[in-house]
Amino acid sequence: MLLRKLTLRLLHRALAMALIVPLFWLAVTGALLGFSAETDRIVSPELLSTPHVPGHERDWSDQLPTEFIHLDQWTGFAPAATPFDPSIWQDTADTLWYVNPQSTELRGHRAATAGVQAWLLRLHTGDFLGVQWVYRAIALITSAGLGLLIVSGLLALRQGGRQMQLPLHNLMGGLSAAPLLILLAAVALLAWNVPREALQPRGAAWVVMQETKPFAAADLAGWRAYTQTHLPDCRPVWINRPAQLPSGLQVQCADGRAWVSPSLNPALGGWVPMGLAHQALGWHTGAFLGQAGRVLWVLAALAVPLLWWSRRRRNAEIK
Amino acid sequence: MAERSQVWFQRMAMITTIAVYILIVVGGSVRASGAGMGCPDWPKCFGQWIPPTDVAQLPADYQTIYKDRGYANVIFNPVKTWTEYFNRLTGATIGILVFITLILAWVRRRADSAAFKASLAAFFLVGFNGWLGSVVVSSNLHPAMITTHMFAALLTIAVLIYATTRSSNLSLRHNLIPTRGLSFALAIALVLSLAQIAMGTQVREAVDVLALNPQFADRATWFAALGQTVLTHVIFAGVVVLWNAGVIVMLWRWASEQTVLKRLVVALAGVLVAQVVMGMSFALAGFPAVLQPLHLLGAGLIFGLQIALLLALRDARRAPVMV
Repeated sequence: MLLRKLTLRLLHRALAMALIVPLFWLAVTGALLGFSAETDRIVSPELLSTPHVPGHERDWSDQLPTEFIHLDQWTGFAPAATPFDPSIWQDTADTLWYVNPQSTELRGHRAATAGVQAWLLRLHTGDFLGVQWVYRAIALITSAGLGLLIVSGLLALRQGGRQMQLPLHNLMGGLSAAPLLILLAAVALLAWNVPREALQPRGAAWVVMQETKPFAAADLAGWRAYTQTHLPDCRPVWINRPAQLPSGLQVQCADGRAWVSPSLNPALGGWVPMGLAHQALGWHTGAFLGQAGRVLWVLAALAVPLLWWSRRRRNAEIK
Repeated sequence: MAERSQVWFQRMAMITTIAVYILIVVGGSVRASGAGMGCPDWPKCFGQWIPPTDVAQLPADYQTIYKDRGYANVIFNPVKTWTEYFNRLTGATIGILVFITLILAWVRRRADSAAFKASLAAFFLVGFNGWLGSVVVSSNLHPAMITTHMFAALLTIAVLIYATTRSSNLSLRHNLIPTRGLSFALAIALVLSLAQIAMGTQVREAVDVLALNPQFADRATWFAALGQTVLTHVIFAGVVVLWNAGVIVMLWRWASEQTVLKRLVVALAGVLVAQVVMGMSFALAGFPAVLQPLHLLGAGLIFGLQIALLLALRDARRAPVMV
């Protein structure tokens, strides 16, 4: 029994020592990524918000800044989420154009790869490295190691670890275990069979639509009318260009369908439900539980460096 | 016996914490009364350090000037302008208070380095949140930006409470070591409260959008229109209240002879009840504007009290037992 206890604690400490650098990197970049959209808004308030002009909202197709994007050159469109948000157009050069949906005034533009969110995503997923498979291998080994670290920590706690004077470490470890295990399970799903595009914030719907055929082309007015008629409680999130295949509409609904973030195919007249693998990003970020989930997931990610710090501090106190 | 410098530091840290709570109420009132754009520029207000009291004190084309700067529909309203100006004055006062707290912590940094570090962190957080206030104005009061501003205020409160309780040793005279289960239960209560606050911010963001819609001019229609967003918040409130009630009973037994701790536990119970009553009033009394900042204050108080109690439990575990 004593031997088992010692082995568990030894394994726990050895894993923590071996994985400390990649764990810190992934935990901190992941935590920052949790609220990167908000950080992006803080950094670029002029681009990502608009003054509200009551009663002047234009039709979707009228919001296209035709002086900058030709009618045939846009590839994606995100209608304004709230009266405080701009509409976003993506063109063939992967530039995002931000437009006031009421006055159609251009707020600004930037590359799809620019901004805090895109930058942090590159850091977290290793896209900044030339040799990506090395980073991915390290990230996967680290994730598996973190899983073992959590399980060994919980088992050690159960087998008398409470007698050790590590109240803060045990408390944080116990509280963050559940979200971290869900987050790691999602990593396994993401690594298993999710295409790279699906990891992008708006990529999942595109991939789902690509896998489901046939598609019918429709214009923006048709999409809007369809949404308003069939989905009065839903908010369109992202539309891929209907003039070319594949096209798709991702919506967010006020009722239970919001949990699966479904995509709609007007040609079939029905839902294209997102599979488990496509929902994995939501499970990884905590977004499946809304704002509360994101807060809890970020706290769990931040617990990883804090756990290390609390253990080191305790060591120093004992010495 | 506490040193004089320690007493001064504790008092100043406590005053700063209370001032941050006052700012939360003032900030909430600004939002509830729609006075956020009362000053369309920052740090000045209508280009002046002391804002005008009459439209005659502004250039005739002030609306065009601010429209060119990206702020549409700027209409001067002295009440809204001065409400927002008072919000900024309160923020500036907190800046001075947190600076004094930092100086007092610096004086006794050798005796209590953790309190000094916490005060330094609070100082930077207050500065950061002041700057965030300017970004809120730049973003034309985007609801998500207001949420970020509020979370930064909660973080400041947490750091200030840590600095205060660090040097006060609330439970040094304790004769009963709290169980680890109690700390764990209270920590879960804190996490649940944070999740509930996050859901509350979603409700507020939805309210901000509804308030712009002329179709929902009558506040009584808001609760029904909020649908699932508010329903999730209400259902989860039940979980939060039940869990906290259990924790409060456990804390009450533990805090048996400690007046300060018992007061904190009673305060937590009282604020929790007040929050439930206010939540019900939103549904039954047509979303009264006056309750919006108070509901926000209640959430902040629950968060602060839970942190103070959690730190007290931790101190009690470390302190020598009285026999």
